[in-house]
Amino acid sequence: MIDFDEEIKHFKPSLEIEEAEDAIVRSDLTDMTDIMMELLKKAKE
Amino acid sequence: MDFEKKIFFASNSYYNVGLEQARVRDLSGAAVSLKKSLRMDKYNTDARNLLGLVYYEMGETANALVQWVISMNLQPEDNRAEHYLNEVQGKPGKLEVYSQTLKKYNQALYYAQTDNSDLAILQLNRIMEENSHFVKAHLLLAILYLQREDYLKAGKVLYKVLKIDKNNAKAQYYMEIVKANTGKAEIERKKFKQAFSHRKMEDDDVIIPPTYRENTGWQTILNILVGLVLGAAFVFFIIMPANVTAIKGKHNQEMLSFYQQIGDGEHENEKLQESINRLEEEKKELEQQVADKEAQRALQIQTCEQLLTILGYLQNDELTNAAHVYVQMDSSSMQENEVFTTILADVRAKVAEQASVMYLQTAREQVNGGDLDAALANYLASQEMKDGGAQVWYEIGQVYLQKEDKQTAAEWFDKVIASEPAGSALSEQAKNARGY
Repeated sequence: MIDFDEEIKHFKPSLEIEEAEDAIVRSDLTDMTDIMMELLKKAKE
Repeated sequence: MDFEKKIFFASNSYYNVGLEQARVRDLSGAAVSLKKSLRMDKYNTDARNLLGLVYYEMGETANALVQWVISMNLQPEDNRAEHYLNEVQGKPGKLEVYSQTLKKYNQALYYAQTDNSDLAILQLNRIMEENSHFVKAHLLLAILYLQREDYLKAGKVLYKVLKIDKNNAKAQYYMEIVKANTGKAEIERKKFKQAFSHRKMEDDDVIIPPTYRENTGWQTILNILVGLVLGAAFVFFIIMPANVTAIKGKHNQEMLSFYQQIGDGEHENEKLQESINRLEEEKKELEQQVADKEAQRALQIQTCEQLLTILGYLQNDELTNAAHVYVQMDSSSMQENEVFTTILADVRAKVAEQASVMYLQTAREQVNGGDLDAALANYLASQEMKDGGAQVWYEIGQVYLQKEDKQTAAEWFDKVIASEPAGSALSEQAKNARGY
């Protein structure tokens, strides 16, 4: 049987349209290339 | 192969997986694969645009917009995301509807988390009407129905989710609970068991025949009676409840199938209805545009006819009649037409004096009638045709004074005082009206 209180905790609020701008600014666009570049930079240092 | 190329190929591989998943409507799976693709290479525009599309299909419009805006920033030219953004943001009301839907969902979630499930269900049902693809809202509604043990309604909602997102883990999990509580899981288990229940006889298996025993008469009757009583008790206590449960289960299972069919039909209907609504909106807009154009055309024709009438009067030297028509004409619809405006300027020069007098007469009548705004318009039109002099300026000042615009009134009175000899009747009247 389902534990409603436990299940409902897994539901998170949806991003609203007004929050989209902040979300875009806060987006973490780090990809593998960025990580590799960082590692190479540290290795050179 | 250098690491950049490896990353590029890895990103493309994840993208291809995501694309296949999206094609078969495994949207949850597609979102995971596409995010991995972007973790490999953030410049994979196709992956980002598809991720936005997946979010959009699941009702997460804000998340879709985030992805498409980022996509446009990373690749401003030749990007399909521009089209998606125009589609979503193009019509002013549409974005507002999406915004309200998301707000309502968050509100419904708050209600659900604070034990107001009735309000939450009400809110979620409203959301379904606005956005039938909002997966999270469907799931929340399903779990609220499950909490109430309304398994049929929960099943109907979950069926819709699985049509949108085939492998949605939560929906599948909840659906198992629904099936278990509507007898469908039991039927499936039995079918599975029966498939493997037959056992082949081995060589050393022995069939034992039943043995024969002697019975006396009264023992036989007693046995029969006991058998009847036990049989009746067995039927009453064991078979009937089981039958009732089985019938209920079968009924519930049939109802679930029935609802699934209705769900299919409703889903198709909803899509058709959306198309119809969209086309009707476009039709209304076009009809309005046509109506506007027709109205403008009619005005243009009327204006041209009036100009022809004026020209006819002028040919017969009927200046007063020409001025009369000129004063009534609304030439605003023909301002773009060079030929018209050239002829009109010529006409205006000819009828200026008569038109000025007519405007003035009308203005004076309107002042007496108390219609100050119309009077002012006609005074100014008269001035434009021909300057009426100090008397007219005084009258205009009086109208402004009655409209309580003392500053503009004072400007007209100043003109009168400056132009009239000091001490003249009109000059004194203007000074009195001005107040100093």
